[in-house]
Amino acid sequence: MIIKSLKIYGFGKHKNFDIKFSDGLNIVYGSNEAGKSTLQAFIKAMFYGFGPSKRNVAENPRKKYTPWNTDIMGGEIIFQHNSMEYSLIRKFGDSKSKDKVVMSLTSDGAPIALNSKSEPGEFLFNISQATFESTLFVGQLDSKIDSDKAKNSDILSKLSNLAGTGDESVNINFIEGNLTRSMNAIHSARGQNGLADKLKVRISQLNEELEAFNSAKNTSLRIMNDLSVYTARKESIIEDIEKCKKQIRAAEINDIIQEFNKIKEQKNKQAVQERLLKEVKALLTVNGRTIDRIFYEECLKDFELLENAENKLSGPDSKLSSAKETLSSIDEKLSSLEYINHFDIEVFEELISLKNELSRSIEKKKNLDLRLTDALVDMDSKTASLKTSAKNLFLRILPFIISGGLCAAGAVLFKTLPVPSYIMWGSAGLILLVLLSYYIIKSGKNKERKTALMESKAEVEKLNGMQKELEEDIKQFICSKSEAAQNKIREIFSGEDISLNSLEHKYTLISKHISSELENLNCISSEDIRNKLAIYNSYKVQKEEVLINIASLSEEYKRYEKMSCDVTSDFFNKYSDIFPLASIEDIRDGLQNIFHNLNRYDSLNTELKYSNDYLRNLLKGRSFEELQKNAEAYTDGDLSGLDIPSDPALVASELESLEKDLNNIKEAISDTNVRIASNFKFSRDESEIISDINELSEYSENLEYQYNCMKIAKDTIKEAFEEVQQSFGPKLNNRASEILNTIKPDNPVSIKVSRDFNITLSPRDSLLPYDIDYFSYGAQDQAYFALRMAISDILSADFEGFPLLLDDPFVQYDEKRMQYAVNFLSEVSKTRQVFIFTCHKNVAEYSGHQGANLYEMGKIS
Amino acid sequence: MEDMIKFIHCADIHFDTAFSELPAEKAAVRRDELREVFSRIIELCRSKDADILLISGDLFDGVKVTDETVAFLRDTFVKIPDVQIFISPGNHDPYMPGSKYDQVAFPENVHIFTDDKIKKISLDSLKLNVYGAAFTSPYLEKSLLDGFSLSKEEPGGEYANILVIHGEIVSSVSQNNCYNPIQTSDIAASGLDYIALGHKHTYFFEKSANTCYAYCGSPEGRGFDETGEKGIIYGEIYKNPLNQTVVKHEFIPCCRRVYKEIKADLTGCATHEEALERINRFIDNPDDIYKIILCGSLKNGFLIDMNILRSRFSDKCFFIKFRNATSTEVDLEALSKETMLKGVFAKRMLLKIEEASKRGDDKNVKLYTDALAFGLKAFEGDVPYDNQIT
Repeated sequence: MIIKSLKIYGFGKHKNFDIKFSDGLNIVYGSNEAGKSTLQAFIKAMFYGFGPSKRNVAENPRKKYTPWNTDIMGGEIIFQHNSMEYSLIRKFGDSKSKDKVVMSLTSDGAPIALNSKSEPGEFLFNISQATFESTLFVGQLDSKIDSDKAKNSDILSKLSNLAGTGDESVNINFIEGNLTRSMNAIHSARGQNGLADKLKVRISQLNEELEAFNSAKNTSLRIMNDLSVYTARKESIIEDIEKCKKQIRAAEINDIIQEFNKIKEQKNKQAVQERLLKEVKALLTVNGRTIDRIFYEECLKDFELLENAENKLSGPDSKLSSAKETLSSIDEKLSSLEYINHFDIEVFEELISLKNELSRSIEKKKNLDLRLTDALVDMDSKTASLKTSAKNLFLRILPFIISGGLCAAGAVLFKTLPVPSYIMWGSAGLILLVLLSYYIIKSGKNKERKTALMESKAEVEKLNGMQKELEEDIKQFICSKSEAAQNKIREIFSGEDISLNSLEHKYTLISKHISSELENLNCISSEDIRNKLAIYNSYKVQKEEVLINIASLSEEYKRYEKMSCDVTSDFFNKYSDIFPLASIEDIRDGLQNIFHNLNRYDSLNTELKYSNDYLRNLLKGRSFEELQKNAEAYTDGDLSGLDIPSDPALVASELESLEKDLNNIKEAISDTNVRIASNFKFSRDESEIISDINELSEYSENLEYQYNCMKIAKDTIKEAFEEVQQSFGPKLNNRASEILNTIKPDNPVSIKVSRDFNITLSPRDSLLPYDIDYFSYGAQDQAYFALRMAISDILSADFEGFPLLLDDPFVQYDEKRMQYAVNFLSEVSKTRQVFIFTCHKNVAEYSGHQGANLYEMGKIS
Repeated sequence: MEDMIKFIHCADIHFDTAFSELPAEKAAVRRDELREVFSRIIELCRSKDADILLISGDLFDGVKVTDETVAFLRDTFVKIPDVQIFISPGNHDPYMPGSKYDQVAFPENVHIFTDDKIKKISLDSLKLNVYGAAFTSPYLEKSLLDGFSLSKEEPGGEYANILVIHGEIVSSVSQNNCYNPIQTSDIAASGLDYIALGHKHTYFFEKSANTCYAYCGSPEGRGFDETGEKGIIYGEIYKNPLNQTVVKHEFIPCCRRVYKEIKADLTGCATHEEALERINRFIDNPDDIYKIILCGSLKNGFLIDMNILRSRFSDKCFFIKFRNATSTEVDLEALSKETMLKGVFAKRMLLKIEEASKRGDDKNVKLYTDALAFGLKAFEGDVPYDNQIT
């Protein structure tokens, strides 16, 4: 890369500043504060910008190079790279992110896209800012090597750093120290004072606190468990005590109630007795008269007199009653047979005889009717036979007559006809006539039939005559009966005369009548009727006898009756209010009642007296009302809920024992409460402690993590340092020695940086290396230059072509060594563009003589 | 509304907290601020004309309570004589023989539940039953609400029913919890109208069956595990026209300072100036207490120096702490152009990173990348690390 020109809009003291550079060695010459370093810083800032901002202006290049008299900070660099020419324009903002960078090709102005994260220097040349600063950018060694040991030590440290890390500002001890300090702050060497160590202790304390808390908690829970057992026991005892007290009280109440109930029962009993006594007394008081035992005795005597009189009257009375009963019985029997007495047995028997006669006549009539029927049948038969015979004859001859007539007619008619015909007709007629004669002869037999018929008619008439005779006989029989019987017969026959045709009817009528009469009389025959009539008449005789006996007994009864009336009258006059119109039996019952009531009265009186005494004993001088009030107060509800002990004394003993137990358990509870209270000393609960532990543990983990990071970093840096030492160290020593001998050919030395960063110089004529402290400051400065150039040279393979920028590198050099150095750089400039910024005129002039391009500040605008 | 009951529900004030995370002088300020916040709660009782104040436990941070705090509380309670105050001691301040609750005579309007069984206090004038129970030891393994049901106690009738209690809501009894583990099923079965809970330091409101239950949270944060606005619950209970009990509530912040934990992504920052500018955006209130977790990927091997951050922010808020969880990106391309020791170191580290990357070992990729950044930083000077004040 070749920087062709710079155009500064504003940067530090430069404003609208232009400068063009050539290939090879470029010398920018100017007096102090002419702006050489600013120019150098501009080139670096254009390619790499500024690092993180710092407050201190000296350490903050952005602030340091902010132009004083223009608003714009920035500029343009035209450079050539890989045969292409680029324009890089940068305008600086307040921070790196506000910088505006534009890069383009100068040929056509085509913009080049830059990686947003990369600076153009990194993007184009693959060189980091740090590498650039430690290799190709050789800053001003403003230390004149004089007696200032501080400056000297700065150079030495930079040499050491360069040798150790390749970066003059970075020291491995510094790096490791930075890490070790923080690591030690986390974990101290003794493992006590580090932050993580303290945290560990604190977490451990918290864990102990938590453990103690949990232990106390478990202890408390155990104690509380004891307490809950005690409390439960206490409650159980209290419950038992209450139960005992209730039982005792229940027993007391029960006694009161039982006593009251007994008294109440006695009182009720007494009331019942009083009521009964009153009732009995009421029964013994009639119409204001009190019946007592004296009265009863007198009444009883009077009643005995009355009873005697009644007993005497009862003898004739019963006989009379018996006779009357007998008479009544006879009357009943007579009455039951009274109908017999009025029945006409004579007529009835005549009717029976008529019935019998009619029965016989009916039989006779039936015989006559049979005979007459037979006779009539016979007569009719004979008459019919006769008629049939005549009719049959006629019918037989009728064809002959007709045939004969026809034949005659034929013969007459057919007389003209040939002979055979009339002869035939005549023959036929002749035959017919013969047959006719036969039947006429035969008809002569009917005369016999007529005679028989006449005989039959005579028999019929005879029988009819016999029937009339029978009818007359019946009428005669009826007429032979008594007038009463005839009237009855007429009544039965409803006035109709008897005839043969109505015999059976009349028989039926009379039979029904007879049956009906027998049925009415409840008899089966006329003999039966006659027997009942006899019985009836005997009852009549018995009745007469009984009537005579009754008359006699009545007389006797009247005598006794008068006697009884007198006694009764006396009794009822005396006791009419007590036994009004009562019978003997009623009076006897009444007297028995009086006797019973008198006994009951006496008995009730005695019971009542005993009851009063008993109640008085029960009350013991207390009023019933008072006891009732007490009892009702307890038995507002019912008594069924009361747990009444069977043995109250046992309960009282148990109560005493329970109360002792209760006192003991109360003491135990009190002790336990004291134990709980003494165990409860934590103001924070476990969640708060755990929260603290978690918080600190999280912090501790974070610290441990950071410690690990630092440890890894530290170890890796150490490894890296070893690597750098092994690969870079020998190469660096060789190249640095070459360069040092080039710029110091009159006194060749070899330079060596040991692993422990000691830099030694070995003159050729000396076998032993000397610590660089033994050499002049100028030699030390040259050694520094040689190392920088060596590093630049070694690393330049990686970033070929990037210009080398040196800020007054030859301050401590004498003229000759300066010339050697310029010559060396002139050689270098053949492969890369070299810029030397110097305030030393001799450097500028010598370089100019050597063909370098000279730019004098102040003359450049 | 004539029969409306107004209440303030607070809990977990933790008077006399050590605030050990803070420097001693700031911890003392914070302890004083707890009293200031409680005074704000009392003032809210006045301004809201509250009928009752419910304190659901952990009024004190521990059994050791300063006399100053006790005197302050007594004086403060006296200022609101018309407000009935109900306290259910919690696991930090259990009611035990010798505890402050046992020793101190509080004003008549203060009702402290002292039994580890639920008890009732009726306020007939308000038609209100207030139930409560106490931790009588630091632990309670069995729920105080277990088996409690209003119907078992007595019918609610016209009275509203509130429970003030300290405990932890758990999903099941199998959870190992010894801070009165309350199951939501027990809440649902309780029949109560409102359960004022304490123990959890974050506001939470829920309803199970007909019972509303809420953690009001602590009124003032006490550490970075209690971030965000803190406050109390103001509530109103009344009967609607259908004679149903209605609970309305409102969370009212009343904290003096807010603990804030913020993740500050510093990705792309390459300088402290950029990082400071980025962090500064999160510091929105100088009164608050910040924990800034630095994260993201820094640029160009930039490592944050915690000393710089602390010095720059120490006067910008009450207290600030940082956690550095950043990683650092290095310019691999630029590094590849480095020569000599830095170049060799970088190449060796890059090789390690590449190998880890090939193995898919992201953890070591990060580790070596950060190690590279630390190593590169060592070339320049001091290597910063996460040196917080603990």
